[in-house]
Amino acid sequence: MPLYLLPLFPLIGFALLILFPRLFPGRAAGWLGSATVLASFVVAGARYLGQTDTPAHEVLWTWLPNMALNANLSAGFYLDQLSALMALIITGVGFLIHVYSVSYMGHDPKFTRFFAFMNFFVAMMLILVLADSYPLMFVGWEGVGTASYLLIGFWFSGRNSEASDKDLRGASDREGVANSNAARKAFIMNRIGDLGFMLGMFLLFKLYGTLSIPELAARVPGAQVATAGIELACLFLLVGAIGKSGQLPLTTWLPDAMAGPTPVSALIHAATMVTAGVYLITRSHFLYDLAPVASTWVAWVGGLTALYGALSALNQHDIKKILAYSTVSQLGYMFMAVGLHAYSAGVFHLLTHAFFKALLFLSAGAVIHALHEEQDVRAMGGMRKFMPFTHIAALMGVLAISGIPIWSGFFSKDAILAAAYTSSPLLYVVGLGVALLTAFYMGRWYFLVWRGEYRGHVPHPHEADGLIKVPLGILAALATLGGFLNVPAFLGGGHAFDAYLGRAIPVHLHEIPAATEWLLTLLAVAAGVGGLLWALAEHRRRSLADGPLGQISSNALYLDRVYDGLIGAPSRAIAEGLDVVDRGVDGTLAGIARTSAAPGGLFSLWQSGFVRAYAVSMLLGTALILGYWAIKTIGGGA
Amino acid sequence: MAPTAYYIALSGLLFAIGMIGVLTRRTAIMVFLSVELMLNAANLALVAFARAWGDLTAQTAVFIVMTLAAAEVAIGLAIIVSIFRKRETTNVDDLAGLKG
Repeated sequence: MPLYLLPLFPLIGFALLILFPRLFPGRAAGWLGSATVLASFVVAGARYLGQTDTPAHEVLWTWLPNMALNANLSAGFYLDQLSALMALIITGVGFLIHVYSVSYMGHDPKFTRFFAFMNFFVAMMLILVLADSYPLMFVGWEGVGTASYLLIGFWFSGRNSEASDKDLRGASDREGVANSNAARKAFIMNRIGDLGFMLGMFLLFKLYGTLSIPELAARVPGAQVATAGIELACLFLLVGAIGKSGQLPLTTWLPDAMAGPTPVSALIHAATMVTAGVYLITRSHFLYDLAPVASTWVAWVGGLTALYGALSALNQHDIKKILAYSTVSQLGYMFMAVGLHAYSAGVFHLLTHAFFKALLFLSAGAVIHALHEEQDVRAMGGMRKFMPFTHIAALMGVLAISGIPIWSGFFSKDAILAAAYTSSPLLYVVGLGVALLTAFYMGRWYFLVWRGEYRGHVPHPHEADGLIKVPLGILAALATLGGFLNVPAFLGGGHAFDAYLGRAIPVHLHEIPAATEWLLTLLAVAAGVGGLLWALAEHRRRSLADGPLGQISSNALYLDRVYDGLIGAPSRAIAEGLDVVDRGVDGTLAGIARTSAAPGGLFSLWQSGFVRAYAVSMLLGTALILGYWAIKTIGGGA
Repeated sequence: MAPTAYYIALSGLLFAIGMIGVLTRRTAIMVFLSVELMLNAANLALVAFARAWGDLTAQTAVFIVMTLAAAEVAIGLAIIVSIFRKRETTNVDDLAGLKG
């Protein structure tokens, strides 16, 4: 099966849903949207099973002929172990989230449009990961950005814009403005990252004369290029990755992106799109392997973001915001891993994170639904009694992200921490601290939502329906067991995932004595268990609602305010100044226009609207013309 | 045979009557009638000249004018009727909506 089928199916779904929405009454749009993603998943699965050690490279057409001397850039798809894995994650998790959305979005008036956008996103994301050149990857990169923008601002007029109650509609309007602002923020902050991506592409083309990834991979190791050039190109690409993955300093759009519907948060802002930065760096491993400084930057950006996200998540009150800052933090882990050239560990965490974070978001969505759009964890509690199935699923997610043994996060986080230990002890300490904080804030999330007294306002919350339970169950199983894909040697495993990915991406194995490995693992587990116990102790003392760090954490270390002061306020001041100038220019021009319009006003009096006055004009005009000719003829005759 | 000048004089008279009608009458129907009168004054002049010169070209023009006038009547009356239905008046001074 050709590779182009992968993005083609969801793209057809998108075209049908956006062009002929009336053909799909009821929930038909949701089923069509899910079916196209399932078709892509089947293709991805078939290609995965039929994979050999040589990557598949299928050229579609010549895209930019004679881009350089005698060099054409083709549009084509490239399937190696890395892109096959990404395609499986995108279509697999994507399909589950589509099915979930059929129920979750079932009562939304814009149901069909939602699935059109979701299909568009999946198609663009597949183009991103399958692209055989940076420009084509950029097409997908921008496409997912557009889809993200459209879906964050999906409720751009609020959720109750059709309500007859005036107060409800007013609240809905305010909510709509906030949603639209969140969407704009994501779009604009991503522009900064995209500029970095483009500059990186320009520089790579200048240095190597090609942007095709297989060609670059073959050309880079032997080329005589100044290290500074490679370092700079890698730093530019890092800026792109930072923008897309919500890393410091372009991180503040990601928590705001939770304004979108919950399935969007699960698919785009947890499992797939935000990991595109990790994918970009892993895909460019042949460059980063030659750029030690840029790689260190990647690792430290990741480490600091992991810390930032974890600290900000400690005292959030919105059920989705906690998960959003957690995503920022976990993405930081992945950046840390790929920055330390532990690509396999980073991508493995990407995989397990896709499972457990999608699971956590979807179970949060189920709770939000059951409580009639309530998102404040202080008005939840005791949901275990009402939603036993969702509770078990969410618990699996919490255990996975906290790094409790046998759950998937344990294996992937352990691999990252081991890599950090061998390369940079300081980063290891940061990583271990973040592991402790992660376990604590997820424990806080768990106890506040699921345990204790019910503090909600809905009399009898209901358990989710089957369409929501099935994806939750599958994701819970994956989050629990996914870690066994890559059991390390000292635990009796065979590094199966490392070996698989190692066929495409070089795996820099860190040789650590088994005793040290055991110690590292014990420390990581102690951090996870300690964090959960800390949360439990606070829960017992009933002081969990106000987490540590107080206002500093709830305001996400005031980063938004810092940006507002540094960039927002000066920009607004400049804009207001320009507005005054503009009004001056406008006023002058308007004055000139009025002055020249005045004589015109005199002529317009003639246009009286009285038919008989026109008749007189016609008569006089005709008489004038006739008289002129008469005089001329007589004069000529004389 | 009466001299051509008589016909032209009659034509001029008819034309003047029509013109005064257009200028003085307020009812759309009367204005319309006056316009028809002016058209036919022109027709008369054309026929008279055709006879004087022994040339049929002018008579052809008269046929065209008559056809045109018929078409104009059909459309013009329809317009007047629909204006009347909408405004309850055919006074052309009231229909000053296109005032500049």
